[in-house]
Amino acid sequence: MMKLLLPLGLLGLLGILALIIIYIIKPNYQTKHLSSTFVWGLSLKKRRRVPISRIRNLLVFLCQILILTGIGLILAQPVIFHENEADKTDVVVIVDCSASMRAEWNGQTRFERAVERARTQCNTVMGAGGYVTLILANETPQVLGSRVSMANRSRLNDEFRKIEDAIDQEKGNTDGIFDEETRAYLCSYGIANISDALELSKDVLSNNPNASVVLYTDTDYIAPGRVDVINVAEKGSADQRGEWNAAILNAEADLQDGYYTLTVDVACYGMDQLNLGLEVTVNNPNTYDATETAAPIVISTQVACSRDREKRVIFCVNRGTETDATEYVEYGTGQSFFSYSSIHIRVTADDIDSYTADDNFYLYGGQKEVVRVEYASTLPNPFVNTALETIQRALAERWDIQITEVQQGVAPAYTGFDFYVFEHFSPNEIPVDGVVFLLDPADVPITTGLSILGQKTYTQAQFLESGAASPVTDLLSASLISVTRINQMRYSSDYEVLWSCNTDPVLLVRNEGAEKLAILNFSVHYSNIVTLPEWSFLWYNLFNYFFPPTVEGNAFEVYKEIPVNARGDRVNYSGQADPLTVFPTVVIPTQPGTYTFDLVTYFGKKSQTSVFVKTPASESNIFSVEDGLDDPYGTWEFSDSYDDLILWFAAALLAFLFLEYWLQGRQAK
Amino acid sequence: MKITCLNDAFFSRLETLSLNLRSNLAGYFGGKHFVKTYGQTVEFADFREYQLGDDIRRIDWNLFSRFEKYFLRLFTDERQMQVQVFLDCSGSMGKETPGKASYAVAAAAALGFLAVQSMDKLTFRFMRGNVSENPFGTIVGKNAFFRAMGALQDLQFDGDVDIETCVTQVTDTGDNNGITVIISDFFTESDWKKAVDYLVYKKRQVLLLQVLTPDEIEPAYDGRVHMLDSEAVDVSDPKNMKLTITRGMQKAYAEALEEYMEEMRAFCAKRGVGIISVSTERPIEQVLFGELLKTGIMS
Repeated sequence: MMKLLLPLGLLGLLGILALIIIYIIKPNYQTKHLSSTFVWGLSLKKRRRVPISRIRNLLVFLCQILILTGIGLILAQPVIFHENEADKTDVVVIVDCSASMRAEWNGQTRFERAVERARTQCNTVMGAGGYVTLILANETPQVLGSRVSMANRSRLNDEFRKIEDAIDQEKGNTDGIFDEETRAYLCSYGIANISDALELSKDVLSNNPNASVVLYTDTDYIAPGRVDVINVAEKGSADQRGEWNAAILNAEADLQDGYYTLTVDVACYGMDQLNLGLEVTVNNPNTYDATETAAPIVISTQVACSRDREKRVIFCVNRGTETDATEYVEYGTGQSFFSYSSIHIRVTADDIDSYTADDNFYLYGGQKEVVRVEYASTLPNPFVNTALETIQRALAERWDIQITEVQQGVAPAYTGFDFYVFEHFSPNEIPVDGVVFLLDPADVPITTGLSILGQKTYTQAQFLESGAASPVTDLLSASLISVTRINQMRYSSDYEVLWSCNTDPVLLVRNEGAEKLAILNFSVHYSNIVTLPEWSFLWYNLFNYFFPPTVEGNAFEVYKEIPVNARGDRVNYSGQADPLTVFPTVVIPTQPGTYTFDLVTYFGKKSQTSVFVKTPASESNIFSVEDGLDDPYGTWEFSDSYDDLILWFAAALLAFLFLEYWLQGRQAK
Repeated sequence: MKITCLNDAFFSRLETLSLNLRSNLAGYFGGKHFVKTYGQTVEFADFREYQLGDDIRRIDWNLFSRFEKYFLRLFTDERQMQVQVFLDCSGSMGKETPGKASYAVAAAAALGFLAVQSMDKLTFRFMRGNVSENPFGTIVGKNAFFRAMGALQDLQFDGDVDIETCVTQVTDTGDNNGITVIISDFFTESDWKKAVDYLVYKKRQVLLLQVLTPDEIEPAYDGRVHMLDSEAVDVSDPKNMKLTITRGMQKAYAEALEEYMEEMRAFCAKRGVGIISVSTERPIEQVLFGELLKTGIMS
């Protein structure tokens, strides 16, 4: 419907009155006395053939009227208002799908309550002729129905039915494995992205700035702004206990003085005081190999928790100074341990708490995988040993590196090690069950694709040049390293030249499947490399390059990336039928629990790594309070929505002007 | 109305000219126009054999001595013609355009002067309404002519004119005895063609002199014009018109005028009638010594 923004502009229509007056008062006909009008009479008979002339005059007048009308309307700023959506009831319902919404009370989770109440509200709104938009706010919020009205309510009902079906399916499913579609309708185990959900609501607000946004959540917002926050948490009353949660927020095991110290952060929410039972089970303690088994160590203790206060419980050999927030538990006899396959920590209480996802915690990484290193040299030097010991210490958290130095006169072993270091010589057959590092090789087997051409000696020290970028030379400066003698070598295209000296390769790497070979083509006795940090870093990089950890770390949060690498061509991990084949990669866990990564290395060795994925600690606080919400209205202007018609009227005005000009032209002819 | 063209210089120049009428006219005895009939002038015309009764004094004896036959010498005859000048005295000829009236009167006077100079009988007939007035009767001789000229100065142009009636009702039109000149703009609803046909029937030599003003040839006015016809009886007379004169209208006017004049010329050409259209813009002398000489009326 067309409206005028500036009705006073219609005063311009007075021009029509002025036009009419002009037509009235303008000189009617000038009187002309002629001797005869005889010829004019004849000419009129010719002109009679064009009867349109009278109509043309009328059209000219009409055009002038329309032009003036157009000017008047343009002055009045005509617009077409869109249907006034603001007058309609329009509700954006956002359901918080954060992990804390899984808190259960009287057999019903907060999420179920929220969905139920949201459904009731949606039906009410649609029944009143309004529109409903439903958004599930999990890690990546999704719109389940946009501006659904009574006419297409079945769409929304289907979505609600899918949510209810997913909830039912989850209750009957203990392994927690769901297809992607079902998971999309479930409450998550992570943090809800409310900000993005509110961002999605702007699509509706752009149509109807007066739409209301309702957020069903369990978080109290101090300043929710214009968002209508409905808290579905049950806080209980004097007569009835509400929801509560006993949580393990985090746990760590640190090796101190030969024994592990276990640090556990716990908290209690929803209850003023609680004596929390904490039970620690150390599986396969004090074993040297994963193949060994031992009886578990079980440690139990009671922790006095108060409402919303975190408490740190430290299980250790020697207790420290306790504070209100820290409590020490000394290991009893036989309870200290220097290794473990896993540690299971759980909280216990008289009653089951409302939120159970954080009641258990697993620690892995207590048993390091053994990496056997052999060092054989015709002229042993301490620099290699030092470098090996350095990486042994540096990577002690990850690997149990066992170094074997072959004594002079003793034949080195060519099997049974993971990492072979041969200096000043090379075996007739390159070992096939591990990584081989040749230092200043005098000769190399032809099967390696290498051949030594001879030695090249420089009278002055030559500095190396960097070649292809590689993790092996990461953070290393080749230009600092000088040599006075190198082995000239011919190499196949399988090798990557990382360093060179006057075009001669001095550091080469081959990493294809089970063929893992590195060559440093000069003697450390003819170089300054051992005096530089580059020497240790080179070993460190080489080790990381050829022995990447499957998973770095052993505890992650839901929806946080787990970086996965492999020493084989595939990794199977729990819960997934399809193995990982491209590395490095990441796995994004969607639910808490233990994730086990199994692989077979290129050399046929089996490896298993377990990590624990926990719910975010912030979700354990099931009565959290936050400052405020992003205001979806914040940047929105409450302005009327309309289409400007000035351009159209201006176009029409031009058209009429042209028509009038044309008619005047025709009249003049 | 004051005649401005009629002065001594004007007439003195006309003295060198004379009317050149068709030779098959009969005319009256005693004029100066050579005709086809044989007479007693000194102008040799032909020979013929002597016939009984012929005057023997006219026998050419030289031929007799050569052929021994009698031949008579024949001479052309000179006759007096009757020149009638019909002058349209309607309003369109001078009520609003004195120049046009002066022009028409001057043309009439010039033709009349040529007539009296050739010893012809001259009759001025002023056409008004259905009547053609003859206030001066038959004018013979310059004295009578100049007396008539004095009266021409007060000639009034008014009202309508019916050329057909005015011409056909004249009883002394004469047969084959002279020229009839009709001076008008011919902007009339009356059927002037019948008048011409009547004169042709009477075997008179006919000359139509159409006098037009420049405004009539090419109207210089435009816009919304209430045109009052000088012959209109009153304002409501249908001859009056209200028109919006545009370029298109002006073009239509020019086309209509051209068509009308072409029709006149075609009509006259079929009947051997001379027609001259003159614009009052042109000096009268140019018309007399130009157009009339070209048409052969004057020599």
